[in-house]
Amino acid sequence: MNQTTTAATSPITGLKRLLNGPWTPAAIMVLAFVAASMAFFAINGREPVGLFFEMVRGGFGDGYSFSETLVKTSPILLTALAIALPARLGLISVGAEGQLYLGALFGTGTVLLAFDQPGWLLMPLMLAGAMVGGAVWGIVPALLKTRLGVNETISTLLLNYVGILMVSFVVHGPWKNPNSLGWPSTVEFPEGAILPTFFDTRVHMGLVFGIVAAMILHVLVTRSRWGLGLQVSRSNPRVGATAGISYEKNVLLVMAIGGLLAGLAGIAEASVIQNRLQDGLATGYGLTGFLVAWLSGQHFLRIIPLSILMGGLMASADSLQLYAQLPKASADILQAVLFIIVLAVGGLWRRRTMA
Amino acid sequence: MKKPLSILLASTLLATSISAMAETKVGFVYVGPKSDYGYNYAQDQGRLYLEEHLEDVETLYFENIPENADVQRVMERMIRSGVEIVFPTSYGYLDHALKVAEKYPDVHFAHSGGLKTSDNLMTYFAEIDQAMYLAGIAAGMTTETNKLGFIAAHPIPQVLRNINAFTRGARSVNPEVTTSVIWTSGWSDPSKESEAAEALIDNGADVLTGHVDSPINYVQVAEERGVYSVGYHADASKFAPEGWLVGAVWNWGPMMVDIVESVEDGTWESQHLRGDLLTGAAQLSDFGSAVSDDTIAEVEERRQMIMDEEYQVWAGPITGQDGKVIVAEGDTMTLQETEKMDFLVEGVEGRLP
Repeated sequence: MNQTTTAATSPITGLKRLLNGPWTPAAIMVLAFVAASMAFFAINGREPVGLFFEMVRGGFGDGYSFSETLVKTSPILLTALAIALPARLGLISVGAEGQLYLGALFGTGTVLLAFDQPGWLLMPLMLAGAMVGGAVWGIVPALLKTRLGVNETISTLLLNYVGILMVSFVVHGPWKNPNSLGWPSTVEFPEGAILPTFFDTRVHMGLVFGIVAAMILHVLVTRSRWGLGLQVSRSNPRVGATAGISYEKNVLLVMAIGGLLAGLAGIAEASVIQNRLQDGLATGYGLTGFLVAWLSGQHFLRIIPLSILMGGLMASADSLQLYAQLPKASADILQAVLFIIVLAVGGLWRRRTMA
Repeated sequence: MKKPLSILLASTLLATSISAMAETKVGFVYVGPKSDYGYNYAQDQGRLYLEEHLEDVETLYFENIPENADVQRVMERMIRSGVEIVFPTSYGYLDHALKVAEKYPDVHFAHSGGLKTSDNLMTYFAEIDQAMYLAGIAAGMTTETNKLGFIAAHPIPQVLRNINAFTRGARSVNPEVTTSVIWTSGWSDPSKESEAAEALIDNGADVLTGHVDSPINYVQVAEERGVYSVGYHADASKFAPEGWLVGAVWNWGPMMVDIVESVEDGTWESQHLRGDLLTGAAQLSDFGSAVSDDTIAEVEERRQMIMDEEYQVWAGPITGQDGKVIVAEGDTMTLQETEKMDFLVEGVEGRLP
């Protein structure tokens, strides 16, 4: 596509090269997002430039703000991985939210069962419980797809609601803390079931799980035979089958692994952030994770910085209320704007370079 | 680049000059919108009263903050922007506020309701069930079907107190009355509240009331269906010009002024501060045109009795749903006991969820 490489000496061709480089669409996206957010602030009658800087400061301006951004990053990162891995096999799962809730549900169930066990035993049990819970909520739609041909997008979407309602049921009913004076939540987790945090902030092990998982998945999918097999199966399951690659098995595997990662996100929220299981545990992380997964182009390493960026956007929404009295929904609007810009710029850029 | 920089500079200058003028910054956190004509509206009216009556006070607020750990970040942001007194105003904020209070021992917290305190966290509330009891009298004297409907959020003591007080008030003038309760499991869920209101009316109720953040939904449904309504939190009579009976409403302003002044002059103490009809923190709204003069006279007489402490809402005998006596004649529930209430009284239909 780029035939000017040999004439790099001329400044004009140099500029052309730069414009055709891989960073150009990213730069356009950033500029478009900055402009769109400022326009959004201006439409709402706020001073756009100063407010934009306040927002950036609210997400990344000091140690505390950045730590709160990373708190939001963990569940986004893990749920994005839970979406991106099945997507490598061509599956469009939207089930990370439900898997997150199931992870919190099973993990909390384990904690309640093993309440008096010491931390060295309770913590691994809790995490294992959460992974099983999340994986189950991945395997169910996977089986529905491979056995009955049910579309995975629809089944994962519906299972989200089931998962959220199951948590709601237990915290309003059987698992309600008898001493909470009627308030719907479980008892507080014991000390041994609280994931470790770093440097006196709320940033917790969940972030480490997410980053390590992203790196492992990246290596597996790009370097291993199994990863190559996913690619083959994705483009043509029948060709894959003749090479001994079972599409059905891979569907189960990617959905289960994705689910267990989202499950980890769920138990991390319950354990270290809320200290208990309750309603409204993580409203919307699964959806944000879905956006991040598709923004990244299912690229596991790109998911990490994108999750931090999205976490920053969610955490910095505070500044919009604090300094400009813009409602909390503004952050959701900006998130949608970002998503549309990335899709639109990406699409236009591909058309331009193909032309 | 020059212009944005100068705007930024100007805004920082302005911000510092404002904070130099104001001595105390007070921050409020609301679980819903301050325009809900209900709980959050009432708290925000208190905030405005505070700004109006104390010149050296600057306030700021956050709306729509859910009752999960997000509120910790919101409170920390406020404190980091200079807030010295925090009013976390929703029931589910308490444990989170206690956590933040521990981290910032120099900041004072005044939480709405609840029975936990710490060195720098107090609670404030008002015995609005006194007003609900009086509203129950108006409902009991007005109803023709002898069926009242109550839309309730969570089965926490404050809500149970209102259901029970309302029912006891109604039955004190009309022993035939029963109150049906529908739970919505959330402070603000307009569609569920409207559906619950419809269901209660379908079931024969001709006076509706409730304890959710905004009375607007059930008051409007009641008005459309041509039945009566009793408001809660704030005066919503303009949404039901025909069917509005009366409402139990908050008046937080003076109490908030006291709290902020006590911090400023160093007399603040960690306590459970409670107002009532007498202090004016809980009030009965104006009566609607649907209320008869006899009813008004009865309610006013009973109000006076409560204000003169001749009558107490939680004096025995109090009978539970199953007919068993919970508080014997001659006994009265203490504040601690009422704030741990976990039962429904005789005359209430529907179970605790």
